[in-house]
Amino acid sequence: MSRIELRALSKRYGQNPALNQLDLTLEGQKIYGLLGRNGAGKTTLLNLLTAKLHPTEGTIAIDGEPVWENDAVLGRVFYMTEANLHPGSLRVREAFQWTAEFYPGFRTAYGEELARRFELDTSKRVKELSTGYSSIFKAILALASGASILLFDEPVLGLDANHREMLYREILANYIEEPKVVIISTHLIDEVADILEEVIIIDKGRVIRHQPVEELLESAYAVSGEASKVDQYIQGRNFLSEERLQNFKSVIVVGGAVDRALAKSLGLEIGRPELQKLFIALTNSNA
Amino acid sequence: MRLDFDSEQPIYIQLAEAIEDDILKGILPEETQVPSTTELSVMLKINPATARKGVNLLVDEGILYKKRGVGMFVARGALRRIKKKRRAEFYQSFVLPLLAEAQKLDVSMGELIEMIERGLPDEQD
Amino acid sequence: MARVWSFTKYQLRDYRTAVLVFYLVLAAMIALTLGISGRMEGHASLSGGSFIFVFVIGLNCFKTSFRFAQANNLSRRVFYLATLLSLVGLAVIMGAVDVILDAVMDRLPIYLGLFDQIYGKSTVAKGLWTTASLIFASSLGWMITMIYYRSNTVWKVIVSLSPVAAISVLSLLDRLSGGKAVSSTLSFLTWAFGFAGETPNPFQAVLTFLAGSAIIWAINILLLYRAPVKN
Repeated sequence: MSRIELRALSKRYGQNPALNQLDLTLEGQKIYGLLGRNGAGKTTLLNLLTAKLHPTEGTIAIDGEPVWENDAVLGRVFYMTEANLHPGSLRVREAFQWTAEFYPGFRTAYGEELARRFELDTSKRVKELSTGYSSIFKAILALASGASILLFDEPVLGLDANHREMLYREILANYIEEPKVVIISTHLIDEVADILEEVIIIDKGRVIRHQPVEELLESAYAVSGEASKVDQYIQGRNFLSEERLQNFKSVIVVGGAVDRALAKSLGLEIGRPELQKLFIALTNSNA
Repeated sequence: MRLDFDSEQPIYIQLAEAIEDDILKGILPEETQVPSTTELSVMLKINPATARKGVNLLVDEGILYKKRGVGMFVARGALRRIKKKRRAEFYQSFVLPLLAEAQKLDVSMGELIEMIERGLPDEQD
Repeated sequence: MARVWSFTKYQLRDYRTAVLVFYLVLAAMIALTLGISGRMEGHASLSGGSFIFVFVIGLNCFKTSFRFAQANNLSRRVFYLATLLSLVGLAVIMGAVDVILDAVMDRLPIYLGLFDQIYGKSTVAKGLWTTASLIFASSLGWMITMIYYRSNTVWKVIVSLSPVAAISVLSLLDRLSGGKAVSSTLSFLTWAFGFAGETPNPFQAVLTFLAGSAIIWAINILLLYRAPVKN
């Protein structure tokens, strides 16, 4: 269970194209980051992947099998949705029991242990959970599900800093203990960046970057210093995002090696933007 | 071992250097076992593939070696190898920036040398 | 598939509270009526009650449960089969309880159930008839809730007005055909529920209920096709 293929995938709501001829292949058991701005199409993509929606065009396959109405394949995927699909009157521990019915690999003891660690009261009803605990509840279901593909849509929504760190650690520990495909879809990039192996950036319904994290980060660098000197350096180079403060200018250059000699002679500083900065630059310029 | 996630170095290189530092400081003597990539990734909250990349870098340089079935160990002669490598980089990484900063601040050669002598650890106990 | 059975269990568990309340209320009503007047007026309220009750169950069997099925990545096919089985299962159980209740009530000399009044005494026929009618009622509720789910605002209005529209169309046709439309409809219904011959035939009604249910189930397949998850 480790190959996801989306081909020429389009989803239109009336005139509005949420996804536009999107091509994506994910190969191998890794922790993938699905990054995109609000409304970029991340949730639509995940909904299509789990057959919650039917595509307007294109194909979706997991391990070569189309997902539509395919219980065999869908049964090996657990999708932590941003929306709350569980009945409000259901108690957390009942939800565990029912999930175990539908996912035979569900590890109840592990789920209860996670609930304890996060201080989730399993006697509470789903509708009584706060936003944060709603996320924790759904994330625990995913982690304990035993599925070989885990999809997390905005997993840290509403979580305080402690719980955010705990959840990322648990996802990492879970993945290390039992390698699987994990896709974390989020617009909160800072904290999740380090546990990702491969990154997919979606903007306006298309994939604009799909690379291993390090490769993506090494593909760009920031040049900063006196404005006119910076302009000299970026002559003939691809660049995104420009920050200016009077005479000071900072630009992110994409592609090509750093010309350290030139930079030094111009008195410029070279730095490496973190993933979030690079993401902002990429999605701002993709007009 | 701490990683500085804001620095410009890729994380796997930072990891490799952090391990080298621990070896230099004597925290990880030769022939002792290094934490596994799994332990490293959990401890530092980074992807195991990243941890593996950093460790493999050190294996390639002969600083660590793998004992099949047991784990990663600090190679014999690792200390020597690291020092040799770092000495070669010392000029680029430390001396040149020092000189550039000194120039920026109009620190003369004489002042610079005096500062260096001042900073040297005392010979007597 | 195992998942179909699991979800059927879920749906039945979902109905359970309502069913228990229903029978408690029923028991209370019977006790009350007996206590006050010492006799039962007729079975009409009892079997009519089950009919309406499962209809309402049908109306509620879809939205929340469908979302739950989607949360567990169940296909629409699994949801459909499980829901269908759960409604049939419920009808069988309640049909049996109805028959037993009837048998118990029969001990009281003043009582004659509605079914017996119409079709005469036969436990088998009564059981089948009741079960089939409950299957039809719950399926109807299910279909109506699905129609509303798949409709946008315009269609919702159209669907809500359709009973009125149907009656208007019928009376128009009737006037145009000189009374033939209504009379042929009535004679069809009479035949369908087994009143055509000398003695009323309950099994004809059973067939009618089941045929109606089958048509509804076919329509529900269309309604569930590519149904999106909504808020």
